[in-house]
Amino acid sequence: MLSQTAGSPLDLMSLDPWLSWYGYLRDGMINLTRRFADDMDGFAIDRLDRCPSLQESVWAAQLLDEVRAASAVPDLRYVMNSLQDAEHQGFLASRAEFVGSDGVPMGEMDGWIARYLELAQYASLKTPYLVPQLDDAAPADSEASYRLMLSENGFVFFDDRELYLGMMERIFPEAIH
Amino acid sequence: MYLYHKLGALIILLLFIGPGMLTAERVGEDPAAYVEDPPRSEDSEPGVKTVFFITHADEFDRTLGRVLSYEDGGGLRILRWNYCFQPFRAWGLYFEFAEGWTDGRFAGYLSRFREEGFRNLLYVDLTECDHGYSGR
Repeated sequence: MLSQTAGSPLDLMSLDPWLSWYGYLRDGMINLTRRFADDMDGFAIDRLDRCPSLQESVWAAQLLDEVRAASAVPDLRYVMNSLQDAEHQGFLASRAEFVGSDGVPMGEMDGWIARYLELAQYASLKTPYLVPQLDDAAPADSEASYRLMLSENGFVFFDDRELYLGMMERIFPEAIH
Repeated sequence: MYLYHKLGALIILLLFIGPGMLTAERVGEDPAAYVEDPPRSEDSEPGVKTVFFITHADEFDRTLGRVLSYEDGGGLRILRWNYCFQPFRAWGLYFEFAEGWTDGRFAGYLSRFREEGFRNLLYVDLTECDHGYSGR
């Protein structure tokens, strides 16, 4: 364990291969590929922006490679959320089908889009996905954020909850068949 | 003789540090060694909006039909990826099912998504863990 987030029940964990968390993740992920080999395609990997150092990111890459090598799923896919800049984690993005982040504040959109476009060049799919910061309690603001993101850019991630499907149907009525 | 000693020392040094230099476990290793030059983008088409769908297995019965009503065309490209947060939502039970879930039930959900053209991804947070677990 590296540190504890103040006020949060979550601890930031080290991916040092000699510590227990690494083995727990590796064995747990490999086990899932064996139990669901016929029905799963891969893993959605989150919180890689929390890797606090280059060393931790390198260990994360090592973990992903170990799991893929032992996987019962042929051509195991990774999609990755919350990566850092390409210069720091491009080597992690190169293991991903696609990369992205969730909850980008509108005021920071321009900067994030440029960074993720660069990062996505390392992934299989060159289009990163981004989703604006959503607020279930303020759906009008969330919908405006979606519209702004789509007007400025061509990629977004939509949630399938009722609230957000309704927004999707208003934004793209012509796409419903 | 001095030369032999120096050569011997060098061989011993390489035997100790050589294997480590070939692994990814050393701080400061150049991450560029892990990646080739990024290939050129091939999937971006000007003017085409790409929409990924994120879905939740526990919402499956209510919303899948509406998601499936969206199709490519008219300047829109739909990608179907099913992110399975549930039943791995509880960090303290990281790789264990929530109550009521079994391998068979979960495989059935995944299979249904597959039939509808989704690819199934199981969610894993690599860097954070519930305090209750990490403190064990």
